[in-house]
Amino acid sequence: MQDRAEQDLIARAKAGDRLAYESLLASVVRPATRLAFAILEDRSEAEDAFQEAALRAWRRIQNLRREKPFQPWFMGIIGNQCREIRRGHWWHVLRLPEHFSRLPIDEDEWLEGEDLRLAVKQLPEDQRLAIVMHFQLDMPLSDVALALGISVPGLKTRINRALKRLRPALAVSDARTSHG
Amino acid sequence: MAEAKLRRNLNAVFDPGEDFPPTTLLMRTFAMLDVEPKPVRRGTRPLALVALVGFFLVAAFGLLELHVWNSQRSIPERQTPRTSGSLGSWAFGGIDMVSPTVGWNSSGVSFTRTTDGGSHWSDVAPPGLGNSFQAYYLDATHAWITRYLGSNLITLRTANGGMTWQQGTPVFAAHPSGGSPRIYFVDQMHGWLLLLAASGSNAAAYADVLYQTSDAGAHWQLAATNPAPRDWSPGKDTYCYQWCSVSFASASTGWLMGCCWSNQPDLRLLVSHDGGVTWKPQAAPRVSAKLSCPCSAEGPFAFDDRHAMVLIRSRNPYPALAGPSTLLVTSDAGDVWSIRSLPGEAQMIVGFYDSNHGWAIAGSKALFDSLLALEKPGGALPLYRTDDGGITWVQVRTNLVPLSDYLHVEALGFLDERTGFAIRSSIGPTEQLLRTTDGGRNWTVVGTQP
Repeated sequence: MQDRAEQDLIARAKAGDRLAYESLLASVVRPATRLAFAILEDRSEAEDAFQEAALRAWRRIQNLRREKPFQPWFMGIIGNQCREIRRGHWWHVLRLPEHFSRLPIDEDEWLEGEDLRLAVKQLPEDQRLAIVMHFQLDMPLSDVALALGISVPGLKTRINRALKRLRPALAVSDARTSHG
Repeated sequence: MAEAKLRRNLNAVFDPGEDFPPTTLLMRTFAMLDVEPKPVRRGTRPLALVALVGFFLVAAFGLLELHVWNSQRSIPERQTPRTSGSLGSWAFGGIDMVSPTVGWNSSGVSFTRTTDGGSHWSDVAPPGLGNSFQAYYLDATHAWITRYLGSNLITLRTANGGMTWQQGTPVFAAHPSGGSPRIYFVDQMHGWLLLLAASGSNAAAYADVLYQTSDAGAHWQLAATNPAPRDWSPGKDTYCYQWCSVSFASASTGWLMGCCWSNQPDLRLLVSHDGGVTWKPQAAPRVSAKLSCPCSAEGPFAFDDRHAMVLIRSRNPYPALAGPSTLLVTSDAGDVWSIRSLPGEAQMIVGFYDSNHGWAIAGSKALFDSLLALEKPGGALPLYRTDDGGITWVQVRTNLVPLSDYLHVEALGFLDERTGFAIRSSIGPTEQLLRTTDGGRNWTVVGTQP
């Protein structure tokens, strides 16, 4: 969506124009629901999260700062919604050791399949959101930072920490041994 | 390059399928927004008319003359039907006090009930309810829940305050693309379900379908499909319900109201005198062009078999930006609707508990602008009261003042001339339930929901 056109829609939505708001929602429904699915791993709950976020965003549309894009702001809301749903599940976030490999790692080597799913699931919530938004949904770092309410350097740090946990387990295990 | 591989891996692992999100998700979401709870469903009950014009400031506290409420005074429990609400995201969002002590609270993810005036809430949800449902309350013990299960709409009912639930016959909805259904019970036995049922992915194939029950929801029968004359249907918005509400004044007489407008208000009412089987258009006055649209209509709120109200208001929830609201009243079951003015240049909320007695927070846009200043909240909110159905309004001195932590009043409703409840919230999700026992002059916090 063109920036100017989007800002026009945002202004109209702030003035109470539901159709303008619906246009904004339509532009983010795919990335937002895919983010929710990546976090919740349940299609039905991802849809619920989107609907709930849509209601919240409508109620708080006045909080969207002037000239700020809609998508990062909405992604932040749906990220929070997913957190709340996960908290409701009493899911445990298992933290991996804070020791990371300093050994040379094949930069093209990433976890795959179920290993990757489990590793992402075990990431701290903020790192998980950052990884999904930036890598899976292809959002630029600046937008992800806006969505998560942190600086770009802070986001990079968060992503780097997460990436180290998405390498094959052997490397992490070796690193722990070598630095332990 | 390495990132590209990670991206591929992530997409392979967290792939919800190409058909996700379903094409109906947006439609369902828009339908939810249509009946967005802030304006419609906050009825502290038996409040028969609750129009909440969204976010605004309130705060209670401050010392005004204290009117001690005689706790021995008998306040009959109300059983006034109202329009059904929609899902809410906040725990207090769906609160409905049906007596000074008993209330229901449906947030869409939880379902609770209080018997001590709102201080404590107990979970009364039926097992396996999930987190996407709608609730309707008739009185202290009778409530209904609807939720989609596959292609069917399931209704659950309780007659004992949520201790036990019974499921009614499923209603086929083609698929759950109809958004939030409207449910309405005029008494413990007679109810109606209004659905937007689809026969395919083409929105043009959607139909408004009305079901009726006369055994408390144990069985539902199809009453009408696309009830309006072909050339008279309201609303051109694909994603909007043609008929946004169903309400009945008795087991036989009721209304469907069209409120899907883009710009100019175009009130459309259908009336039925045979329990919802046949419908005919009912004349409604053209409301003033000074309304600040996009607008929406709420109601009709039937107080008895003759008296009802409709509120037409701006969709903008901010009083400083919204225009004036308009009240339509009838005293002959809708044969003639008359326009009533509301006090002030803009109204934040309006609530009636019968056809004569109502309250409104209303004032000039400039006043609301100053009251809503986040950094420096202003003075008391302008609260008005009418005892003659909105013909005349008098201001009530109140201690409702803006607080920076709780800026918005979400709902306002009265059980009688003295006892009322209000919900106020912060910009965040925290909400407070307030109660007055002296007609709105003094408000105290009953409970806070983090």
